[in-house]
Amino acid sequence: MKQATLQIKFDEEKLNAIKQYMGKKDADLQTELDDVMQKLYEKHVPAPVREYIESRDSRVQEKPKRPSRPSSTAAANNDSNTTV
Amino acid sequence: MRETELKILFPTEKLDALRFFMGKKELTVEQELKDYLHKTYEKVVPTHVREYVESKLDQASLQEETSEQRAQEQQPEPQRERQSRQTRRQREQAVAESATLSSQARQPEPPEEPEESQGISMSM
Repeated sequence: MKQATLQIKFDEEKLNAIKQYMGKKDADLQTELDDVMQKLYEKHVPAPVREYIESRDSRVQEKPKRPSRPSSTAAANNDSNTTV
Repeated sequence: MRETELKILFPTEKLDALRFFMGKKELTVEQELKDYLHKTYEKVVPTHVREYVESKLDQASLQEETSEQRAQEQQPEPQRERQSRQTRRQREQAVAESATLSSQARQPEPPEEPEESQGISMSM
């Protein structure tokens, strides 16, 4: 699935303080923000819509896995050669 | 107050859906993330450190305000020009008004002229 970039403006000094004190607790702000986004998604987007989006995404991922034509024809030729 | 940009990657389709359903509740993703950052700042950063950081921010904002005031003080001329333009307009209006008044005052004069001439003729 394509990724979108969210941009938030926040006070630099405060952000540095958060990063510093989160680092002391072996926590990472970026992963925390990713978790927040996932929780927001699960909280606000209804389950059927989430299922729909995820099923669409899986279909899109499956599509490019089809084998290309030249290789299949070549394989068929090989099979015919072996049978004859 | 210096602000920095935080970038978060999230699947486009999911973000669209999230924006749509949050929009129904008049909420924005950005605002929710900012709220989260404010809460974690208050939760993770010790009180004394917060006091110090905020005092620095207050100083910075005060400096910005004073610099803005100085900048405004250094450019008072356009306002004066506007004021002078207004006074000019006022003057023009006043002149126009006085002109109309004087013309109105002059209007009753014509009937007086014959009287004067009559007076002259009488004296003759």
